[in-house]
Amino acid sequence: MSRRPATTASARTPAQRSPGTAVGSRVFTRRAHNAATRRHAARRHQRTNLGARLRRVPTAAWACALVALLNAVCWSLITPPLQGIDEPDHVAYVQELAETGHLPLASASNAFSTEERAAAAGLHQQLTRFKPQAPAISSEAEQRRLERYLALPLARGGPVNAGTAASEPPLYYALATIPYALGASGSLLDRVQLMRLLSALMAGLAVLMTFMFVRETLPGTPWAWTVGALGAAMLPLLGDIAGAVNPESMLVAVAAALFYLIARAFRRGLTSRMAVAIGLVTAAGFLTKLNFVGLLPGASLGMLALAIRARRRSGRAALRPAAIACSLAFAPVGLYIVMNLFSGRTTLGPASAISQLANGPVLHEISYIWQFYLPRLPGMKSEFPGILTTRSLWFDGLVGRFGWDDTFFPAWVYTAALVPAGLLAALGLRALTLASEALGGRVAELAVYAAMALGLLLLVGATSYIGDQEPGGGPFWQPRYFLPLLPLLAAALALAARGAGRRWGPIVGVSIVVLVFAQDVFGQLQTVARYYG
Amino acid sequence: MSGVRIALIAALGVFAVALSVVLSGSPPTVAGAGAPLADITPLNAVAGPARLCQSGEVLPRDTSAVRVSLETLIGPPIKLTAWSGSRLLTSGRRGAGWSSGSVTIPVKPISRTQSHVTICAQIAQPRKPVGVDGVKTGPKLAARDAAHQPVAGRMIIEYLRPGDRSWWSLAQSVARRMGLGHAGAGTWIALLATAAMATLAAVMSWLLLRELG
Repeated sequence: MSRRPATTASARTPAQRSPGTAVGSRVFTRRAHNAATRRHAARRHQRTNLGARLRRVPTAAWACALVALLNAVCWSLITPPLQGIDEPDHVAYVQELAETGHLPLASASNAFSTEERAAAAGLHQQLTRFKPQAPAISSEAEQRRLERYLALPLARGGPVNAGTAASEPPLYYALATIPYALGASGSLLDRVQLMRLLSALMAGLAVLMTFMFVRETLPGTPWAWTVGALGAAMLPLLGDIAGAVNPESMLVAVAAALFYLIARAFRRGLTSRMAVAIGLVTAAGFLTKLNFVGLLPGASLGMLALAIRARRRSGRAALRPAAIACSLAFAPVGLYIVMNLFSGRTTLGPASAISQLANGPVLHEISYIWQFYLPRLPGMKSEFPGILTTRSLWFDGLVGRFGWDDTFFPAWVYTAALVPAGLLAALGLRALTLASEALGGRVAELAVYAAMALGLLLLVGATSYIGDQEPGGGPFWQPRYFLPLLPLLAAALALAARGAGRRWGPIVGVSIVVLVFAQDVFGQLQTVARYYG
Repeated sequence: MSGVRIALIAALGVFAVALSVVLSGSPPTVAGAGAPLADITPLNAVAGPARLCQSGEVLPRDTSAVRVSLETLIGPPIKLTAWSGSRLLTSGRRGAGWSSGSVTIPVKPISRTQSHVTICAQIAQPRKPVGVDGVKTGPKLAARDAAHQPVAGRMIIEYLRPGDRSWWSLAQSVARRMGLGHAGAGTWIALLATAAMATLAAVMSWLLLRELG
């Protein structure tokens, strides 16, 4: 980090302090010139510095990001428009923001604009979603009807409530107004495709950050970084989400950046620049999707651990970076509260619902959240009768459940997937056992990652509990909510490859990557068969 | 040749064989017609363990799975049986965890088409009510619950069996369909998607050889 010498007022010469005199004026002019030169130099330095930093990113990281981008682009092409999960709501949010400059209005009676409703009707969107027996439109007549609808001069804006997206913060949607505007002269389908490309770019960014995270956490095994990041890049779950208009694509990227920065801070110390980066990324996370809140307890624990470590080394002044990070990180929370107050929503939006937990039966809540993820313990009342949630909801979901959770692999695939999953788990455990001595010095860092994961698990579990108690509601059982933990999954894959030892590790690494590639391709084919077969 | 190169060639070879086998197979096709999707309405909701039976069905030969219009978020286990009078023709089970607006239950295929078949779906205790969808009819034609009481109409039951044509032979029509309902409609969408995945495979292979080889 570059440091400039501080010039205090008392250290300045009288001439410097009096620009009104002739000498002072000359000096002032020279000073102004020098300052401008310094600013220019600083800007050039920053540019070259950024360029140098980008050049230091390994080629393999860029290549992994490209793989994620290509994968998401492919998913965006095979998924019919408005058939990504909750995509109509997200499109409505972007459209409202782009056309009117306003956020969706909770009290608006329509979820979508007239234009979007017409496009959905032309696409048979309502008839197709949740109904695996219903394909996408398949005849020239249907296409012509859709084109007629799209050509109508229908209202694009107007107060809409944007359904489930309404309460989400606006950063992703604000960014998506750029591709939306680029396609303004085209049909809604053109704009949806352009917005999907933004999501695909986010997937690329997420995997770039994931690679950097694995590099920081497993510095001794460079070949394993590629295994972890490539595995993450081709995860069908990521492709499915990043191939649609969905803020979760950006949430994954922001969360991966946070994981990377924290890992880097643990490795190289918490500098002011690093703190600013952590603060800005956290702020971006707050403004992207509310689920990001789940990562905060862990991230805060990380800042605390880093601050304590820095204080031991450099005294009280070392706490300043942590304070900077916290101030930057929490500023948007205030902004979000103000926005909610002005738009007639609850103070913390849907996050306010979590406060209901405090008034509920705590033991029941704990039991529910436990069973949401793990097998029921003796003495617990069954919350998911006949279902082993670990397997049916989470493992099977990670293997592949696409679109509106209405597209599956044949049942035997999920059973067969237990074999490689078991082998990977065993190899991962072996790697951890072998590295137990080295891990001893990294307990705080590992605890931070665990706390980040646990925070997200608890948030989703608690939100699910609340949703499940409502009449007509149900659990939030989609593994996509855990995509922000992508860097940890990538590290686990890299660790599993490393667990096979120096000789066999790269070969196992190749097998892991090709296995995920196959999972991805067959997931895409399953989606193609479901909509176009 | 390095071990990594051999492993990559072997893994991609296995993948190619698996892909060929899948694409040489036939997609399941619906034998017999269900109702047009637009006509499907909620008939009933099942909150506890239930048995719903529907008579007057035709069970086509070679049926490998039966799709029933039941709707829920996390479905309970289901057992499906097909009866001709008191004779069990075939049966199948589906474990818990299914979702969306229908459930597909694999069954043992029969060799000859059977008429006047009664299809029964035995639904285990669900977490949340399971919606029974179908077409409204009079009580005579309607499906019946365990107490032989008619529900509001007939469930949509579809019989799936392997089609006559492989995925390969259907590729052109699938590509044409993929081109409909998208921005810049046309078969090029399928080609672009294929090109994206081919590039991905090339980058992945290059990277694995470069970093692991």
